[in-house]
Amino acid sequence: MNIEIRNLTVRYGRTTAIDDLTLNLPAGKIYGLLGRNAAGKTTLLSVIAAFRRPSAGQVLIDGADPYENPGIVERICFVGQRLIGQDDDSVKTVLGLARALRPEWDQSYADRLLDLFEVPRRKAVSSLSQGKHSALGIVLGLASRAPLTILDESYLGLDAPSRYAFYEELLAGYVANPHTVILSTHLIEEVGSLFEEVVIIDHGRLVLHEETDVLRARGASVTGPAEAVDRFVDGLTVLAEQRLGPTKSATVYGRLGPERDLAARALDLELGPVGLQDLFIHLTRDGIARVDQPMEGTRS
Amino acid sequence: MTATPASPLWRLVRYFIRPHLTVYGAFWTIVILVWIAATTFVERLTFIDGSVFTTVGLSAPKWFLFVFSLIMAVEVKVYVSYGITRRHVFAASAIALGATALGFALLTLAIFLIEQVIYERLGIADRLARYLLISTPLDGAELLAASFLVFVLYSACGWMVGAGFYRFGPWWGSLFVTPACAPFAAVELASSSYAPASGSGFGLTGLTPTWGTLLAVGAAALAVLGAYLIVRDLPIRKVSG
Repeated sequence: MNIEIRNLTVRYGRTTAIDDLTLNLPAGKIYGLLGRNAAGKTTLLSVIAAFRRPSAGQVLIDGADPYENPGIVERICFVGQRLIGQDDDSVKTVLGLARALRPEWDQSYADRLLDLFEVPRRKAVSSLSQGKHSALGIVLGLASRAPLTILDESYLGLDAPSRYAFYEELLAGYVANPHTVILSTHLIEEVGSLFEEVVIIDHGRLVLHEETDVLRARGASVTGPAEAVDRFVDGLTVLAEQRLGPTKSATVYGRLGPERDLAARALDLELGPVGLQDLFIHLTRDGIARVDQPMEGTRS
Repeated sequence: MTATPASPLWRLVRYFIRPHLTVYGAFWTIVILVWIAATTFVERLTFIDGSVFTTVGLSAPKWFLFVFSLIMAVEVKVYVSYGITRRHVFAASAIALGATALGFALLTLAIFLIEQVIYERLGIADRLARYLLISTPLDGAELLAASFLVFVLYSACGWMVGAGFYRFGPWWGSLFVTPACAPFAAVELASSSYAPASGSGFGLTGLTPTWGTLLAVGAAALAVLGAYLIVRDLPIRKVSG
């Protein structure tokens, strides 16, 4: 499902959660939505899922306003950190509701996922551990087979093996049936390889929307003798530095270009890709969006 | 994949009615058992001087529907989070609660009819004639209509209270209980629902059946409209982990 967001503003009283945000997310891709706490991620996703009306601006899903649009909202599955209003229900009841209301619900897949994540079916949702609660959210998100699946930090409670099992399932489902997926997460390095495009927002504003590979090329890691690294990074924006004995590694922001490549070789330095997390931290540090130019223009 | 009906509205109506049949069954079983026990107790130990069901069983269905609707309205957020529009949640609730109100009204009528048969068997029907609601088929139809309207009224008010709590929060939601209950309070104050001695099958003391009907229909319509206005653009709040 295509998502088109035009000049979106969402206010809660005097607080502006989303501020004049414009963004286009073409159908059939996995998007990573990144932002610091209270950046406006959940609010943005809530408006996309038609959970609330925008204060101003517009969200269009496949060209139509999703708010109170039955043909659109039944094809959107939003899973947050906790299930909305179902703490007192049993897992079985929750699944029964999903089976009754989700038009594309895949019960056999849900059963397989429940077994995979070892979610007890008869327990009340409130009595599940955080990990099992997250796993139940994942089951709902994946087995809904929704053309637009939104997972808002819903897998944070999973342990590492379960998270990797989830990534595999998500990817397998996506490959078998390409659809639009938006993942909001703080586990940037871990999930980063899944993203085809990354959207970063901060203070309700768009900081960056870029293909993941292109974004990674916006920076580089430089490793080698400390003195050579210091000489090489002189004049560049250094995001992070690490030193181990005489060896130093620095993460720099900005395109290096062929001249710098040659200089690196001359200094016997090793250049590598930059971590998404380092870039994210740099771009949102101190609450200031550190982008030299609006990035959305490249993707819209 | 599971086969599902085309319309989200009817998917939800089916979800509202099917699993709740057991709850309705349990509720009416309790009501009937209490009624039987009370009738037996009164008949054995004192004497029956009016409809026992009016005393022990008549308020239960309307308060059951009030609470049931209240819970249903609080759950609107859940259904919206499963991809159903607020409009469809409201319509599905209205259809399910309307059908439930009709079913409850039919059961109420049936119990009154059974009660009259029992009183005739006990030979006390003549003595109680002026207390009994149903003397003619028209009385029966009026009782059915009155019960249905009262049940719809209580359901709509319960819905308003529940939706108000979610929408306005606990403080303003508590204050909202008064206006939300005003429609059924007005009908209860202006009338005496089911008053067996009223001489009117509709039981609206001091009101003609026409005015009683108009008041009940008007209050029910107001309550339904109020419930819809609260829920039509209800924002679904996020739940943090």
